[in-house]
Order: sequence, then C-alpha cells, then structure tokens
Amino acid sequence: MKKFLAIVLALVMALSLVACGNDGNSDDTPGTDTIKIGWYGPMSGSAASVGLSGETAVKLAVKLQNEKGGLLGKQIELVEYDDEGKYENSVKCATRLVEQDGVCAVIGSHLSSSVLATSDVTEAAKIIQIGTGTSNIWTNIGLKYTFRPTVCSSLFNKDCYASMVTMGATKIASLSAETEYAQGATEAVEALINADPNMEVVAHEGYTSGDTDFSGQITKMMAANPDGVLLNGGGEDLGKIVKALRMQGYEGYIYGIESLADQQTLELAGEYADGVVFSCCYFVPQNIEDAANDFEKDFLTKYMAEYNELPVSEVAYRAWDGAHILFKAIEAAGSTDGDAVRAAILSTPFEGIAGKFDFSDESGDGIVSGTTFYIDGGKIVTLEKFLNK
Amino acid sequence: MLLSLTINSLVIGSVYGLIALGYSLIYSASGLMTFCQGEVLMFGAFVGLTFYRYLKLPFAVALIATMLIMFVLGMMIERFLIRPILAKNAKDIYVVLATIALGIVLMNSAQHLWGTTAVEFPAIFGVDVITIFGTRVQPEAFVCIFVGVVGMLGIHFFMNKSKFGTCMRAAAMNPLASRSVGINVDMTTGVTWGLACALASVAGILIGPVQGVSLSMGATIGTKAFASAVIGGYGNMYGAILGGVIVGFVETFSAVFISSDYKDFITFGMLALCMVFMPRGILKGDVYDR
Repeated sequence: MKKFLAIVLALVMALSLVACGNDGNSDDTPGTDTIKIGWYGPMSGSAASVGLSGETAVKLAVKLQNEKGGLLGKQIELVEYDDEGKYENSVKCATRLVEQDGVCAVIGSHLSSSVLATSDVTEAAKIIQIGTGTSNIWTNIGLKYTFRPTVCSSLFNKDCYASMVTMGATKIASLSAETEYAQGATEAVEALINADPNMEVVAHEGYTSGDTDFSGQITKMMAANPDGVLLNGGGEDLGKIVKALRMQGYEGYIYGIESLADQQTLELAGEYADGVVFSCCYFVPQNIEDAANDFEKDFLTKYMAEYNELPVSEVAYRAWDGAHILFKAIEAAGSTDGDAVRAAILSTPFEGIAGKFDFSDESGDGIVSGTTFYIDGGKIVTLEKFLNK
Repeated sequence: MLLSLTINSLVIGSVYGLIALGYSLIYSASGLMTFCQGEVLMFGAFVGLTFYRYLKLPFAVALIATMLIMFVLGMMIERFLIRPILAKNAKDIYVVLATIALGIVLMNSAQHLWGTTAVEFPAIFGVDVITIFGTRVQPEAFVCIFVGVVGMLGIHFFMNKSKFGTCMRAAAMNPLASRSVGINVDMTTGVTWGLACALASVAGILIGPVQGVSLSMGATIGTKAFASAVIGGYGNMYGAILGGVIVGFVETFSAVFISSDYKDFITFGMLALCMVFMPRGILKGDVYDR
C-alpha cells in the first residue's frame, strides 16, 4: 500500500512539475496536412503573465491567418509548450518541438536567456526561430536562423541614459534583479554614466526576483543621496520597488527601460508611479484609442474582440509582429524549408506595430526605434510632451 | 539610518514570524511538517482580495470571511490529504511530499481562478504611510508586528493553558494513548491545520497592500518563514517570532553593510549553519517521535 501511495504521490508531483507541459493544442497525429509552428515560453511561474501575453497574441495570429486560408494552402497548427521561464526547460521544449513535433519554425520566449539557450537546437536543425527577448546577447553573434521581431534593448539603455542627462540627474543609484537581462541593462547604462564626467553611480544594489523586502537596499541607496534611481527587473518586482521607494521617502525620478511599462508595474505602484521615466519601443495603452499607430490599433481591436481585454504586456506586440514576419516569409518563400524562409526574411521588408523591419544585414535585428515616456498623473506621455508642458 | 533599518527589520521579521507560527503550530500540535504555507498565504490573499476589492465588503468582514474559508480549507486538507496518508501508517516524509504537491495544486488553482497578473490590494487604512521616529512605514506592515505578537501569545496560551490545546499537544506526542483517553485526535489535527491556514491568510491579507497580490508572493516569503521557524526552534511559538525577527534583521542589515547581492546567501547560510550546529534552534524546539 505504501508503494501505491508513493507512486500516486510521485505521479502528482511529476504531473505538476513536468516541464514542457503541453496545453493540448497540438496534434501529434502523423500525416495531417498542416503547417506546424511551435511556441515556447513561460505559461506558469513568476513570468507567466508576460509569457501568456505573447502566447495569446501568437494564438490569435494563427487563428486569424487560418481564417484567411492559412499558409501555402494549408492550415497552421500551433504547438505550444510551457517552459516555466527556466531556460533549461526551454531547451527541452525546443528539442521536443524540433525533434518530435516536427515544426517548421519556432516563436520563442520573451526571455533572452531562453532564446540564447535554445538557439543551438534550432540553428542545428536549420529552423527559423523568432525570439521575442530584447537583450543583445543573441543577435550579432553569427546566428543564421534566429531573428528578433522587436527592438534590441541596447537602444533603450542609451535612451535611458539620455533621459537622465535631459532631466539633469547626476548622481544615480541602481537596483537590479539577478537576471541576465536586468544585469546587462544596468551595466550598459552604468557604463555610459561612468564615461560621463558630470555623472556618477553612487550606489549599485541588487535583488532576487520574487523578493518581498527591499528596505535594506533602498535605505542604502537613499543614504547615498541620489537624484535619480535606475531600476531593472521584472514588471511585478518593479511595481513593488517603485511603491517601496516612494513609501520610504524617495521623491526623485525613477529611470528604466521597457519592463517599467509593464501593466503590472503600473497596477502595483498605482499613484506612486508618477515620476517614472522609461525608454522602450512601445507599451500597451489603457484604451485602444490611445494606440500609437494603425498597426497597434488594429491588433488591439482584434485582441479585445477575441479575449475581451487588452494584453498585459507589450510582449504581445513582439509576438504578433513575430508571427506575421514568419507568415509573410513563408508565403514569400513558397516553402517551409528553413533556408528558403531565412532568405525570404532577409529580403522581404515588413511593417508592423514596432515600425519597418529590414533584416538584410543578417545580424538578427531588423529595426531601430525607441521613445522615452514619462508617467504623469497616472498617464503615460512622451518625455518630450511632458517637458514641453 | 540604523533606526530606520531596525524598524524595517522588525516589520519584515514579524511577517516572517507570523507565517512561521503556522509551521510551528502544525508541528507542535500534530508532529507533522508542511511545505505549503507560502502557497496557502498566496491563496488566502487572493480570497481576501476577492472579498475586499471585487465584492467591496468591509475589511473586517472580508478578513473574517477569508479566515473562515481558509480554516475550512485547512480542515479539508487534513481530512482528505493528511489523514488518509497517516491512516496507512506512511512515513512522515510522505506527508511532506503531499504538502509540496498541494502547494503546486494551490498555485495552479489560483492561476486559473484569478489569472497570472499581479494586482493591487487596496489600502486597509485611511492613510498610506505612518511615520515612526522619522521612518515611513505602511500601517498594514506595522500591524503585522502587532498581529504577530498577539498570535504568538494567543497560540502559546491556547496550546498550554486551554483544555483543547493540551489535547492537541497530547495527540501530537502520542496519538494512540490520546485516543485511549478519549481525545478526538482527528479533530485536534484538523483544527490545527485549519488554524495554520487561517493564520497564513491573515499574513497574506496584511502584506497584500504592501506588495500586491500575485501567484509568486508566497514562494520567497514562505521559504524565509520556514527558515525562521527552524532558526527560532521548530514547534516553539516564541521561537517562530524570534526566528522571523532574526531573519528580518540579518537580511536587512546584510543588504546594507555587506552586499545586497548576498542577502539570501547569508540568510540561508545561517539556516544551514543552524541545522548543523543547533538543529533544535535557539529556543530548543520540541522534537516528537510519533
């Protein structure tokens, strides 16, 4: 009986913990006349809300494309796996997508560490991967089949530094998560600050993602008397930190990049988010009417019609543009062959929510575009508009 | 700065202590260990959020309703998960495994019920911040200190001075002998799990306004609360609060005077050292041999 109990418990654990949990959307039946496209990313764990934004956008893109007749006369079949936001699981998911499911292309996680880790699998199989992470670690490193459907965060880091200069900040304290993304972004901005004779980094602090108490770090930062605070990390953590900073009496500007635009940051920080300055490519507005361009408005209208809500994160934009870059390239190539689709991506211009893409330099990046925003009275406006007020 | 750090340490330490009380309560009253208090806290915070923010009930009503629901949930956990395992005379490690599995079930259930997005828990009091000796603290966080101390004293006296509490301790020490003298061991164990869940939900509701409510809110805090219970003396109510305060002080001061990058390393390093050199904790937690 004990053995039976042990087996049951082990099964419960295994079922709950198993990585790459398929949500049931895939059909492994051999011989079906469909084009299989894979998606992996966090659908559970601390990055789930952002990951699911991307997943729902891809699912919607596939559904609408199928309603228009699919690709090359075939319906698209989306195969999805949850990697829980852990790159070791991402590799398992990508391997399964490539080796077992036989997908012709993969739309990857918004976590750059996962994209980098899985690129070995997709590159070896000569399969296109559209990675939705923004870190510079996986472009310009010679990957042939891996592309980014959004702007590289290196540009945001430069814009973030420029916004500090514009706002007259000279003494910056930084607080960043232990993740590669956050550390990389903070190092990039700090390098620019250190190279500026008029600016200095007066405190450099870190935290662990999911942490609950930041009072020690904030006390130390405030003791250095900064006139600007740089934050990098996940949206949920940043919301708590922005609120904690204000609660502990910090009244200066708070700088960062795209993760500060996350709806969770605004939700958790509430009124305390005023005075936050962030650089990014785009963010999800509170109303469809506030969309920055027609592509964004069109996507948000369709998303709202399908899910009756707006996406939580701009990762949905990345995934939407990524799916359409892929669809367009497959149609242009007239084939799902990796080399043919790659050639089509390199040679076919694409315009989406982020702007006009051109991947012809083979770096993996196709667009350079960014804007700095400011949260004023609970509303996000461009920094330029705020300064001209 | 020292005063500010001390107050902040006490605040976060009392939160850890409040959750650690649940760990110690279950151990002292049933001799069992649980590893899902963090997830129970998260689930309780979401239940409280539903009553307070979405159904717009007065806070006191929302708190009592949440505690009742979580108490019943705790009783059900004991009745349908723990008791069947104990009835098979399974080793304690299987109870531990079952609570880990339960934590994952609670996490996934909350994800389906409330979604994956972190949400704000509205402030409980009229003011957002109170100032104590120049240090700005959210009143909800400060209330954690009060509730933690009251909870510690209340549970201690309940366990040691009341008839039911004595029955609970007796049932934990020797279930067979307790049954032979007429103690309803199933009932005492069920009440224990119910109380622990209700206690965790109170902590969840109190820290909700401080850090919001999210699926991951219980993960880190639950682990640190467990470390607090062990360091203070597993099963000892005073030890739970003491351990919580020690962990709060160590992580806050180490973040400032050593490095914030090594805050968790130092905290859990202290736990490891404690388990090696002082396995019964500072206040010598009781170790029952069921």
